[in-house]
Amino acid sequence: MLFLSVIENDIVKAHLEELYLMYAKELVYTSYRIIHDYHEAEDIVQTAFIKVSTYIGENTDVKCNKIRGLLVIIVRRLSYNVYNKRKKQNNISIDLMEDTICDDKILSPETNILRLDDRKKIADMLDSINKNYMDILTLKYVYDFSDGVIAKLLDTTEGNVRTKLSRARKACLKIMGGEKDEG
Amino acid sequence: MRDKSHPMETETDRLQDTVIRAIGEAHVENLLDDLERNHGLIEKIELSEATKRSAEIFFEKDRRKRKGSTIHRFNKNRAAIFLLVLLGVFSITSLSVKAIRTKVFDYVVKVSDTFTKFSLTDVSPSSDPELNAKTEYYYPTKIPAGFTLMEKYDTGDIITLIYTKGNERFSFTQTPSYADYQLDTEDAMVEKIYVGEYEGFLITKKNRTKIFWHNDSSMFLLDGHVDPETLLKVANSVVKKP
Repeated sequence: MLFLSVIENDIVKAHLEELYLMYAKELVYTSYRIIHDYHEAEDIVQTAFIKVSTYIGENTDVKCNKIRGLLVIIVRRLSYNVYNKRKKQNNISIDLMEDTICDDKILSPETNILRLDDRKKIADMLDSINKNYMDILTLKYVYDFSDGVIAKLLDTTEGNVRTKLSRARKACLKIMGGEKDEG
Repeated sequence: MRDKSHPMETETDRLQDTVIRAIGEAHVENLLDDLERNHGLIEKIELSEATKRSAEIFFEKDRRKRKGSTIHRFNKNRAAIFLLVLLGVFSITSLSVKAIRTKVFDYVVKVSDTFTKFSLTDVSPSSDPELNAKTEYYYPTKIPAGFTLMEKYDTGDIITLIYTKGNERFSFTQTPSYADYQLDTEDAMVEKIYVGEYEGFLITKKNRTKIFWHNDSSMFLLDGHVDPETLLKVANSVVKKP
C-alpha cells in the first residue's frame, strides 16, 4: 500500500482510499480464485490500484460499477499473467479455442441485434472460451482505452494487445455470427 | 480484418462495435454479479496484518495531510470573507447615525474538518446588551408554491418555522446574534451571497441547500431540499413581524 505514496493528488488519494475500503476484499477474492495464493493476491490488488490511479480523476464517481468493474478486470488480467508465468504456458492454444466456436452460429449482423438480450450469456460463453477475450474487449470498447493504455494496464506490449484484440473480436463476432470465416 | 475502404464495411464495423460494447457491458455485469453471489465468502476474507497495517499507516498519514491542507485553504478564504464582511458592516454603519451606536460585528467563520462554525462576535469597544436580546420575530413572506407552515418551535432565543409540502420540507431558524451555528460543510459548495444588504453564505450539498445570513440583531438559517434560487427568494422575503 505504500506504493500509493507516489500519488500526489490528494483528491485522487481520497478516492483510492474509498475504493480500497470498498473493494479490497472482493479484489483479493477475485485474484485468489485464479492464483490460489492470498499474499500474491494482495500484491496484485495493490498493483491494480496503482495502475488504475492514473485513470481516476477528481470527478470520478468511485461508487459507480464502471470503476469497480475496471478494477476487477485489471486484477483478473494481472492474476492470469502470474498464473500463466507459473505454468510457463498460455491457458490453451488460441487456435484450439477458436475451434470450439461452432460454425453453425454464423448468422447475419441483423440477427446480432435480436440476440442482444442474451448478451450476458454470450459474454459468459466467450469468457469461458478464453479469459483474455472479454476483458480485453471490455477495456477497448466499454472503457475506450487505447491499445497503449491497455498494454500498460495489463503489463504487456501494444503489439500483443492488438493481436489479442483482433482474435477476441473475431471470436466474439463468430459467436454472434457477424463475421464469416476468412479462409 | 476490417476493410475501412468499403462504405458498407464501415457500417458493419460500427454495428459490430456496438454489439461488442453491449457484450462488454454484459461482461462487467457478469463479473459483478459473480462477486455479489459470493458476498458471504468475500466478507470472510481477512486481509493480512501487513497489508492492513501498511494501508492504515498510509491512509492515516495522508488523511492528516489532507485535513491540514483543507483547513489551510479555508483559512485563506476565511481571511477574505472576514475582510469583506467587516468592510460591509462598516459601510452600513457609516450610512446611518443609529447604526453608529450599534455594534460592529466581526463575522467569524471557523472551519473545522467537516463542520463550519458561524458566529457573530462583538468587537466594538462597548457592548450594548439590549441589541443582543431577542426582541424581533422574523418570518418569510414568500414561500415556494405548495408549501405550508406546519410547525413553529419557540424556545425563547430560538424560533424555528417548519414548512412542508408532502415529503418535502424546509426550515427557517432565527437566533440572536450571539448564537453559534455548526453547519455541515463537508464536501459542500460554500459561496458568499447577499440577502438584501447583508452578506451570508449559500451552502449546497447534493440536493440540500442552506442559506445562512444575519442582520444587525439576528442570525438566520434556511435549510431544506429546495433549490438554491428558490431558497434565496425565501430569504429575501424575510421581514420583521409587526
